[in-house]
Amino acid sequence: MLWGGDNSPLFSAEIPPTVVLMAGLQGAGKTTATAKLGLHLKDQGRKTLMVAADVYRPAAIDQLKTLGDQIDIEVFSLESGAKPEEIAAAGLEKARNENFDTLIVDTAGRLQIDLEMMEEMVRIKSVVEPDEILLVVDSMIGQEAAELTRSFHEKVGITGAVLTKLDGDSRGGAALSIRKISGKPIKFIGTGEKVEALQPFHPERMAGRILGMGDVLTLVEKAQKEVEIADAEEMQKKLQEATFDFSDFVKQMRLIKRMGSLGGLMKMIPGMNKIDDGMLKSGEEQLKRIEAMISSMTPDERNNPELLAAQPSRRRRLAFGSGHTPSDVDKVLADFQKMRGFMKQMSSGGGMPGMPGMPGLGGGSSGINGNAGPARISRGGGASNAPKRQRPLKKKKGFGDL
Amino acid sequence: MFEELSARFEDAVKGLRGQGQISETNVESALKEVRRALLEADVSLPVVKEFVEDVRQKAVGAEVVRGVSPDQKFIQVVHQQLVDVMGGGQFPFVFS
Ligand SMILES: Nc1nc2c(ncn2[C@@H]2O[C@H](COP(=O)(O)OP(=O)(O)O)[C@@H](O)[C@H]2O)c(=O)[nH]1
Ligand SMILES: [Mg+2]
Repeated sequence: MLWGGDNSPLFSAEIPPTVVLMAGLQGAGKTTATAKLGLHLKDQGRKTLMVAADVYRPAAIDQLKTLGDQIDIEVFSLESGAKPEEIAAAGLEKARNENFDTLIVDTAGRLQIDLEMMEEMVRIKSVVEPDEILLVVDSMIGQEAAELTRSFHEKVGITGAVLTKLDGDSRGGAALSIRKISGKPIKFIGTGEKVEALQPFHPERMAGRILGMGDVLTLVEKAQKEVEIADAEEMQKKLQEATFDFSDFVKQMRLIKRMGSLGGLMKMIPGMNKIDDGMLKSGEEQLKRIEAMISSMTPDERNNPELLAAQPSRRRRLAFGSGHTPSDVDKVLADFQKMRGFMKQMSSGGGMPGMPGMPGLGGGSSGINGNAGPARISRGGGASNAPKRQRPLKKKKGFGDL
Repeated sequence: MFEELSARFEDAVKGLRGQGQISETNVESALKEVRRALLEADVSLPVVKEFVEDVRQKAVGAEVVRGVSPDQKFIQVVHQQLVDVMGGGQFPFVFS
């Protein structure tokens, strides 16, 4: 990840050069943003070639060349008469031959959204196969950003946006529309006419600027964190004792949602910080499925998962009620039991020696018993092995054989 | 640039002060102010509508933990919604 930070980083191609196509209306700030981006990349140690493909206004090519001279980044262009896609293709060729690692293609805009512009973009796109298509949006256009984003995204397909002129008296409304309409992130903001005036976009910071009241947010966060820590501690106790049932599970889910992710919760449990994002993601999917089934359970079943193990009729009713097949239910119950064992093992401080995945949570189920075995033995004699608490572990087998 | 918007939001939550919980009824005027603030910030109408509905859903009945008042909670919900709308979610990066 070359671009660091919590904003959406720019794509970086596996085989250089990474190709970035700049799109947008005339005057939005494409040429300026091209140079700003070039400089930004240069500061990251990347070697960039900028391509001037705005053939309609000779001044546009000169503009980019002047900027290129200023920041000492090469600008490629062809003599007049060449089509934009030809210039772009030749630029790509040059970048490949001369080991540039990034190619930024500046294009011609129009005063308004028009078909010709879109078609030209599509032609350039098909020639250079860009890794990023950045829609440059002047923040002053406000609510029109919605329609602009929609048509560019539909006709050309964008990967992100650059929101310019945020230093002016724009009211910022464009920032809310872009992502909402296209599903694509704003990657950078332009905050001035100078080449240095480019910043990675941080949604948190922008929200802070819009709303202000940072002190209130800090207060609310702190109060909630305290409650979460208390909840997490209680949960951890239950995990260690393996008395964790489906009611706890629902509480846990709420906790997870409040904290935004399973990862956030896991970080609060000692020994659980070595789980990677892929595992967490499949874990979260699994959690959602379980949650659906829990909503079909009776209170008794929630508080006593063993009831379900013992009575197939309950499992059938659950499958019917939650819109799953009986084998889905069996699988979820088995996984829940594994998770229980797994969490117990994890939270009693064992870490996760040699864990290849996250069985139970991840849905990939092999291995938990193999791992749980030795881990339990190595900690034998601890409070968590009190006879009373072993019962759920024994029952686990029942689920496993369903 | 955003100062006016900020002031608007501050007005928006006044009615929630001193309430026990955020409810369907007491949230209404706050939502109206949020809506007006966003429209004044030149956010497009469909985006505003969805934004306000999402805030309503998340705010009404939201757990207000000890030490926090409903108006503060409401501000937090709006803030989170702004973050979500502008960039929440994952953008997995592919890199060399
Ligand atoms: N204040 C300010 N002006 C900008 C910004 N970005 C671009 N401009 C100005 O907007 C005008 C049009 O920019 P240009 O890059 O030529 O737009 P293009 O037609 O899309 O290539 C120029 O006068 C730029 O200096 C910005 O972030 N802030
Ligand atoms: Mg230009």
